[in-house]
Amino acid sequence: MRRGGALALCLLALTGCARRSTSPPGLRQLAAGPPSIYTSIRVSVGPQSADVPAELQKSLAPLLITRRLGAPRNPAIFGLDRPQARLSYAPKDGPSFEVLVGSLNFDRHFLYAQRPQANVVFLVPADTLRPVLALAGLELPPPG
Amino acid sequence: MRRRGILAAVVLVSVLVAGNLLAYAHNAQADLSAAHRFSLAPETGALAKRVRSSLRIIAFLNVSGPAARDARFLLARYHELNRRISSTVLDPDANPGEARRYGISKYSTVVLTYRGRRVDAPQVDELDISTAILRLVRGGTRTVCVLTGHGEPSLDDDSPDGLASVGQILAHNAYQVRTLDLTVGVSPSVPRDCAAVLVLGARDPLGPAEVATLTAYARDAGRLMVVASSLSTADPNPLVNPWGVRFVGGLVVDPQRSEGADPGNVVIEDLPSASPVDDGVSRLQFPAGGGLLVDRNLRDGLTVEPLAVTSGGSWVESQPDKEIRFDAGDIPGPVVVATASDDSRVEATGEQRIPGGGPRIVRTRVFVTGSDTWLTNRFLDKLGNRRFFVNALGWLTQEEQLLAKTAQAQADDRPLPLTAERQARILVLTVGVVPGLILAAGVGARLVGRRVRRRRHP
Repeated sequence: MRRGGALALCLLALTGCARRSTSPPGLRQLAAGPPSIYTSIRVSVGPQSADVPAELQKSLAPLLITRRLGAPRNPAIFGLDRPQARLSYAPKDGPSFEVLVGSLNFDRHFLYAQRPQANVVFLVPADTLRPVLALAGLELPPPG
Repeated sequence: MRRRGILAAVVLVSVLVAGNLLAYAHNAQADLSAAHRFSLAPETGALAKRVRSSLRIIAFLNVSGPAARDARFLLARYHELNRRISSTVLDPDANPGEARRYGISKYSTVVLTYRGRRVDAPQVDELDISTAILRLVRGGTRTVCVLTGHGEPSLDDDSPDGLASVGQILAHNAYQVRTLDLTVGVSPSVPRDCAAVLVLGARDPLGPAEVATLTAYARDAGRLMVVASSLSTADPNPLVNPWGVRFVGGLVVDPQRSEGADPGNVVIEDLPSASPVDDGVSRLQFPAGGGLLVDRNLRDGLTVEPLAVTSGGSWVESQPDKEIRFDAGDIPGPVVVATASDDSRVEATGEQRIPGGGPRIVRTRVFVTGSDTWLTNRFLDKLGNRRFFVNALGWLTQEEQLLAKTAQAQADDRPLPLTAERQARILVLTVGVVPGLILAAGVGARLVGRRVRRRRHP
């Protein structure tokens, strides 16, 4: 009986580990949601910047990611050394933060994105960001 | 005793070390799956041997997905066949520079480079990779010309009666298809770059000028595939007669070797030729076909090989619309349904490969079948039909190795059709031979036992 209990505990621990390893917290989103937790979200492209209107904020909060690419040896290959756009989030509670938007991926369906100082690169759907970046004058080319 | 123990231990350790060293230096594996699903097709093996210098394969895939795992497994098999073939699986998202350099715009694109040439494969499967290797090794695309203008089934038609599968075979073997309409133009001719001319199931008769053009082409070292049809008004005889073949039309009927209730849906089991067209083909399914007659002694230099022959119980039904019964006017079997003619002759002049010219050898090859239904999408994958077509194409165009299908696809082949002959064999085996053997074994055991008992107790 005691042995059975120990086995059950082990199995529980294993499934817990497996669950943690497949979906660690924060993996699926670069910015948490919903939009109501932010006082503002701004997009800036070079010197130009604009407030993201409420109807577009839904696509930015939460900002969902498609893939996690891990730590880049050279962020320049993703266009993250000189990001073409920045998303600035100002939460009601807590410090504000930025999301850097790099270049389009090879088939132009996704954009590389990263939190500053975080050594992880993510892919976000270009369709999500296309209308937001257009607010600051950045028109992304359509998928090839 | 103790020394012997130490010696045995030393020997055991030496054997273990030697075994491990050998195992480290040599890789070996056995594919015990049905139809060798995890091995590459023999055609791929032969093709890989033709790779003489470094061939690099780069597969652009999402490396975390199952497709990348399968790709690595497949590409490793190519490396095992030929160490000159190397491969890499690259994630285009993680390597955007490489993806840009190779102009990749889709996942699963495979880039193959060989001797400064590049060919892309649309996906990572054996047929597509091997096709790309074939293109690289061949060094260019060959053209086959397909005659049109007589109601021939289309190579784009993917309906059961269409020839889309034939079109796919041509594409997979790096042939460019050019349609050839000899009914238009002032003096139409066969383009010089046609590696072969395919006449695939013409429904309407060819005009005399077309026949003359095709005959002239064939005589000048041309390569002709004539797939005749009984279900048409076209007469292929003017095209095939000069090459020792006569199309007698009618309907080939083989009640003993036919699938289902249709005696015209003939299963060919006799492929008597040593021609490479019959290589690897053990059975064919030739429904609704007409018969062929072979004239082996037409002239010196011309050899005509019957490639596929029906059983002795078959015949060519001359009036299939009225009745299916052998009677006067019908041609008795065995009936030839496919032939290969090879005509080699020497002409006094014309050799262009040596300075100053000289005599040249002219070699004509003609492949004829009395049915066109076997090539349709409905029947191309029945029995050995696909392999037969690919062999014929390779023989006509003198390609060493063409691809029919992968080992994976071959494993999916359906079982043999249950012809009357096979039914009779199964009946004899299950009702006669097997019970007979059991009975004979029982009787034999009893007789032996009785003899032994008599010896012991005389």
